[in-house]
Amino acid sequence: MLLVAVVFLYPLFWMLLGSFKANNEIFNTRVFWPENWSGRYYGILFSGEYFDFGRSLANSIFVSLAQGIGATALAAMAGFVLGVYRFRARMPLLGLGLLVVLIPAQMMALPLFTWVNTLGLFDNPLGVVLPGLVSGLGLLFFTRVFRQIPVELLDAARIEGASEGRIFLTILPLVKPFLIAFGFAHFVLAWHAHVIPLLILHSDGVRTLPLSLAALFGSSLNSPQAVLLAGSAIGMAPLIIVFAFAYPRLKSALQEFVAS
Amino acid sequence: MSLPTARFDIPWGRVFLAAPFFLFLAIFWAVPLGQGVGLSLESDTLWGESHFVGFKHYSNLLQDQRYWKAVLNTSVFTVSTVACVITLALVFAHALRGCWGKLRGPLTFALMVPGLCPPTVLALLFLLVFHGQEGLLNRWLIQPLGFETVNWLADPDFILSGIVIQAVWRWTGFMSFFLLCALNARPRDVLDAAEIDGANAWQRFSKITLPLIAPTLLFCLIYLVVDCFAQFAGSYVLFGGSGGTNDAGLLLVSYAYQRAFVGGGFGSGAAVSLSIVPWLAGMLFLIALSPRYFWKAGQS
Repeated sequence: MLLVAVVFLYPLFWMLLGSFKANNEIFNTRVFWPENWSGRYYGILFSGEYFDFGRSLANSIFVSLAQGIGATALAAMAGFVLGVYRFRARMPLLGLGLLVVLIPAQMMALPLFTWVNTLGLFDNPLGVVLPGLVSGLGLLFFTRVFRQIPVELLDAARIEGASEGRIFLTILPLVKPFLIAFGFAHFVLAWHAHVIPLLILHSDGVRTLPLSLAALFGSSLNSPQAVLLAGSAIGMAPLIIVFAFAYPRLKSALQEFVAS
Repeated sequence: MSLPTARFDIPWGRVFLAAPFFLFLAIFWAVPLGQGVGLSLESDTLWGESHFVGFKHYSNLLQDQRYWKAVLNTSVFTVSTVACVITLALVFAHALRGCWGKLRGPLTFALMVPGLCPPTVLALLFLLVFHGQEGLLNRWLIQPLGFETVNWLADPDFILSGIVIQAVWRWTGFMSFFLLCALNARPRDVLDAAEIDGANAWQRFSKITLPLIAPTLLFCLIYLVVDCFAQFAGSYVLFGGSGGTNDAGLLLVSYAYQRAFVGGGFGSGAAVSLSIVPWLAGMLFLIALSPRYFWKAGQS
């Protein structure tokens, strides 16, 4: 297992080392440790010689965070209703959620692009965020999560005359691990999204990090590739840190979910 | 006091809670889907007037060699990725359960880190792993085993395996994690009882573990298949949106992108995109039907 872990981490470690290397060292795989450690590529990255790194990072954080929080809220609200109550439209609505899973937005990237254009959201972060708030997987997930809530609890709240929204808010702390787990998963997916941001976000000021890095990669091989690797390394750091903190929660939430 | 007639009493509280999700679904999923269908029935004109052509794009696709190539590539890519990832993940999940407690967490974590790596970065890393003669794979695996070096990104016979390796590296950790959680959630007493009754390891796995983790397995399968079909970023960075040598790495989503944005044919591009849906549905249908216990367990 240790060996497997090494194999899995090797390319990433290599990326980190690569961010200190000159071009000829990067493309020569016989060089493992950089000859002379040079931090200047990080300097170039932040100086914005190739693209405005800070701006791209901020864009990425905004777009992904908005999607993670928004999608979790919407899916949890709808999932609460579908999970707790039985009514005639329930199955058709769940079927609709399943359809959304089966036809992901990437596949409709083209019509989505023209539609977002029509709405006047072209080149606007909202054009990426708003479509990203719909998660079929989230609906199915939270429907199942809320089905586990004991009925007595709901009845007690109802007898006290609490409104539907109140009941939902009272129950929310009980499912906190699930909210975190789903929110994190959606955040990661949003962070990685490429096709839809590529089509919708056009000018440099609104581009997300993956787009800027891909553009830098495509531009020319003469630019120091270490800058690209440095950007990638820093771009991954927030995910890994958040993930490290969320990991135990994620694990217990998932185990509970699977067991139910 | 008038008795409310329960049948027509609309529970507004619930409606307000559920409405936002379905509102967004209607605006940002159903409308583009409908427009896509409409677009696929119209002629290839960029912004000017386009006219209705019916199912012409679809019938053209049936005779389009490149389209079938893309279908074949996507299917091969999906099937081999899913097979590798699920097998490896099952093995890893068992191995992780067997390893020393303090090491288990960090090891699982290490396996999952590649899943956090953005596809664009991934493609860049693998450009170096697959790189010509000197790439990591050639140097550490192919040459020591005495094979000729493979030019992974240019040789049409190997391009697809390159993308598969990349996808396997990316997803195996996450799937191992899901399966590990499922394994941990198995009721202890059932397993103990089976062991006392003299069931061997394989019997315990196939008769008890597999049905118990079937729902999780099903989820992993569906997730992987959908992700493989929608795969774009990896091949986009590796081949710049083209299909690589001889279109050997051409996938359906990149073909749709090419038709629409490189070729300027929005109508036929939309037709390619939408034609993915039946393929995907067919694949998922096969998954859901073939092994009977998957289906039964998935129902619960």
